[in-house]
Amino acid sequence: VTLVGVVDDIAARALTPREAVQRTLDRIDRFDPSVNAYITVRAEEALAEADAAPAGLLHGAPIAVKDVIDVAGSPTTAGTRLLVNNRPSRDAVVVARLRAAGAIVVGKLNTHEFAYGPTTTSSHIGPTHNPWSLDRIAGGSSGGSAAATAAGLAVATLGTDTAGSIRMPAALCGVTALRPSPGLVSRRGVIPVAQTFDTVGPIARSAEDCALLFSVLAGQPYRSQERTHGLRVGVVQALVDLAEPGVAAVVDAAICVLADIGTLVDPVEIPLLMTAGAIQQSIMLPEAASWHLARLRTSLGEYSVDVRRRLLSGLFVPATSYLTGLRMRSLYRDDIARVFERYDVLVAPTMPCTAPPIRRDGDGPNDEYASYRRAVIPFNAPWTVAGHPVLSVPCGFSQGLPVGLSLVGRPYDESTVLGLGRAFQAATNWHERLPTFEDPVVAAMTRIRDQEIT
Amino acid sequence: MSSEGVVTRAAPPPLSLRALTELAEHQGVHPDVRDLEAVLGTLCDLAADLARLETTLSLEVAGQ
Repeated sequence: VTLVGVVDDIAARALTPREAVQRTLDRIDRFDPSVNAYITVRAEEALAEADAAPAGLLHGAPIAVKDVIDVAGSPTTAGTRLLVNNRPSRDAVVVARLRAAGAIVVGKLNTHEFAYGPTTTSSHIGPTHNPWSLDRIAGGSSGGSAAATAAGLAVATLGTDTAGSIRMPAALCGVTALRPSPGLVSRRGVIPVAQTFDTVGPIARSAEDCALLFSVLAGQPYRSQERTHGLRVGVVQALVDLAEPGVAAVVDAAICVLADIGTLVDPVEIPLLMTAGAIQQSIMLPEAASWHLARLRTSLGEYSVDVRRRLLSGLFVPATSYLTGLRMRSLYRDDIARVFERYDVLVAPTMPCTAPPIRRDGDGPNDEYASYRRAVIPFNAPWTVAGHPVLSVPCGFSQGLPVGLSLVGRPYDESTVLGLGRAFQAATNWHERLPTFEDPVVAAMTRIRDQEIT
Repeated sequence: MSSEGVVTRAAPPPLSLRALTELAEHQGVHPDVRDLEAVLGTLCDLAADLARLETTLSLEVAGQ
């Protein structure tokens, strides 16, 4: 079930908004106990709103949002017990835009605590499970958004991406997602991580769905016509080589598809590529610590161990280092801009690996996700730091788990990556594959393990 | 400094736990020592990375 398909069915009167919402609520009832994607389900409100939804681009579409995005009257917990009583009275701008376009917000989705981690295992409601393998992480921090989309627990979702938080879970859960260029989508009413890098974007089943949702979020139509002929595509070979062999093989095959559909594919070198991680950290760590400072003074012990330690790190980054990071970012952007004089799109693996297993005490004092966290930085930082739009599309499987391909465009050129994504998905069917996660024995075991974890 | 004006900066020595404690308390935050021990590793890695960045910045300035 795609977003475009649901909207078309409603427009053709083959489906009512209430039926679409009820169908989604039924799936949430049935499958979310296994996936743990939702923090809040707005069942009664959503059904009532479905009956009064205005006709618009998203008329009647059941959509859910990450629980750092305000929905008036519903809690915004950001996955932390510190905010369980935080109940905003106003919608975030992005939610207001969804509603104005006729979408129905069916609930709020799990996130790594305060959207500050790549696993979605530290939330106060427990980890989100990857629908492709319930004993594995969904990625993060928008893990609930990606898992809900993959499992059909919403036709599309919103996530936030500071340093990969939309792209990473989308790749690990086998769905399509867009990190827009910063500034195109409002962040008002969204709990921040680091203001320099924060973005809000769509997670959906296809590039076509992402384009539709992004048009509503950005408030202007985005063309995403299939476009490939003559498009110059640069392959960031250094990142392909850095990925696990199974992931690299899948990405290599996807790059062959891009060549087959008419793009001009070449390997590309980015001289400053490996400086991006340090630039990102030098800016993100102190910005995040600054936003949390008041709460760190009063409620330090209430944070999960891993998030607390990352926030504490930001207290000790000197202002001079922060400014060095900002200066270096300018050089880095120039470096990437020179590359984009020769290419229209760059491609690279979204992640170096497939979804790792959920660890029983992974976010605890032993920090069992530390190596995973370090490994992902070189894959997301290069585009975060440069401020480029990135579309992650499913491009195959390694040992039964999804792999994502990042399509990176010029700043504010979302149309090109969405168009190339559509063309890639017209030539492949990876985005149409669905997880089969309904095994009741696995679900029961998962619930038992969650009780032990939480 | 080399003849081209390029400064190659070595990573600074790590801060002590005592220094971290004082810096945190100066900002009104009171972490426990286990958290600070963990933070120290992150800071050492970042300091080394930043030293490389500063070298790169210096290279760029020298090249202008």
